[in-house]
Amino acid sequence: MGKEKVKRMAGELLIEHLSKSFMTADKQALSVLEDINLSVENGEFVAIVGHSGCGKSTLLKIIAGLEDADAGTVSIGGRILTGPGPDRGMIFQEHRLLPWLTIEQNVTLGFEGNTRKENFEISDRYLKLVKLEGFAKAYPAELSGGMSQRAAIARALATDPQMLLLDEPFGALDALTKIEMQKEIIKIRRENRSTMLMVTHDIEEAVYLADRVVVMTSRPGKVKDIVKIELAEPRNRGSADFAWYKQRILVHFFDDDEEKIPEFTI
Amino acid sequence: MAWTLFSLILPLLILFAWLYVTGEALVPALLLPKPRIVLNEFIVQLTVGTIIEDISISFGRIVKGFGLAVLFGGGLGIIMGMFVPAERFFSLTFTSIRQIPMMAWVPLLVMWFGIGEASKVAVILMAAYFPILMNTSSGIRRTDPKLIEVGRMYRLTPWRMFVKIYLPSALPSIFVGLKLGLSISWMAVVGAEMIAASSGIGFRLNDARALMQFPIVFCGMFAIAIAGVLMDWVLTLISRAAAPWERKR
Repeated sequence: MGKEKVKRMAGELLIEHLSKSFMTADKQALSVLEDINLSVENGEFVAIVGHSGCGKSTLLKIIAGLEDADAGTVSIGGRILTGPGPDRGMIFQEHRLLPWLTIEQNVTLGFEGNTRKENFEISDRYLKLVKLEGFAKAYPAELSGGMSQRAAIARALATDPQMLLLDEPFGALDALTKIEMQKEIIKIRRENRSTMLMVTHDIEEAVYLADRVVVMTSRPGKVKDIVKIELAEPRNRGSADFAWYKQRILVHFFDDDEEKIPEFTI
Repeated sequence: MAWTLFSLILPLLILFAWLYVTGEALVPALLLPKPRIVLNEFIVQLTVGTIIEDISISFGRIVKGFGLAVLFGGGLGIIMGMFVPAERFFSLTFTSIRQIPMMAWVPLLVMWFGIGEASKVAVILMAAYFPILMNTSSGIRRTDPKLIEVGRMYRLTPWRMFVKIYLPSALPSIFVGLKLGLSISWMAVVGAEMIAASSGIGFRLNDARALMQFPIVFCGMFAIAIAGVLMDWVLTLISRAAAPWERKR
């Protein structure tokens, strides 16, 4: 995986007038997503933030092709998506490694008819990328939470998707491991140049990683604001500008006085 | 090791109680022979007697009946686990048939198949079929939907989906069914042989009772217990070998 590697031109991801509702237990239609419109450019990192239950994970699942929308379309480069495809990889909140497969077998799950050697080479390359070399023959139960999530990232990258969908991927990790993984994602993105779409409820994570942050409101899930993060890389979590962006997003969720956007920064 | 010794405490207590009760002649020797007499009889049976042959005849029936139960019960269990309509189609019928105790099948099966091999194999099949079927299908149905999503994400073919996700996920439950089925088969074959048979360990037990050879009755019961434990142990070893990841948990 060299830096020169150019991704196949997939074209932008386009979400148009997307709506989805669920039936509740008492037969009431609960609108989860309402008229979502969003475009994600090639190579862009977009983070979607919102309360839990605002439908952001459902949105990601529809893009992944795991769920159907009630109305509206999702397309990549003009091609309307109807189900999962090799152009999209997904990283879930839980690592979701298959407990009965070794890490190597998990990483190469997406390949059928490969020789042993091919599988070994693929898993070796991606396990190195996520710093898990030496764990190819281990079972998931032998890995810590952070390591398992790394293995899940390797699995998602192994099929070389143009777009990575991340569903609160670090939500279950401790604070320090989380920061480490965020740095890892930045590194992978630099090397891999894939488009990334991440759902999170961690505003700091969104500001740290994303080019744009989509703010969603809940019930029904709607796009409330899209904030372009214009901070130089590498981003400094302690800087005033960083704090300003955090506040700028936070203000959408709490409308009391304490959370007003400061008018100037020091 | 400590646990092995610990689990031996109760059997030893029972043995001491047995020695005490028979030593003090608290019960008639005819009804409860002394351990030494049973042990002697056991050695005689092992060397010149028929007990090994009896057990192996019964065991041969188990192999046939249990094998068929694994084939049909496991096969249909997989189909019922994978396809909801199949589950709905069979479940009422099977739940009803299951309510009939396996021994209640013996008269009917003897009428149909005679008192020869076929009726014994049929009894075992009936006994082991449902535990294997039910545990297989529920094991498959309980596969974590989150892992199924992973399989869908990688667009696994139906066959790979089954082999990589459903089957390994159901394996512990399938082995529970196999173990249950095997122990019930063992009970079923002994029971069926006692009711209608001319060979096998169950027949020997009943025969010895009729001839008032109580030490042989005791030997037979011990042999049944030992053979059952051994079969369960072999199945445990197989289940461990089949699911190496379980030990890493």
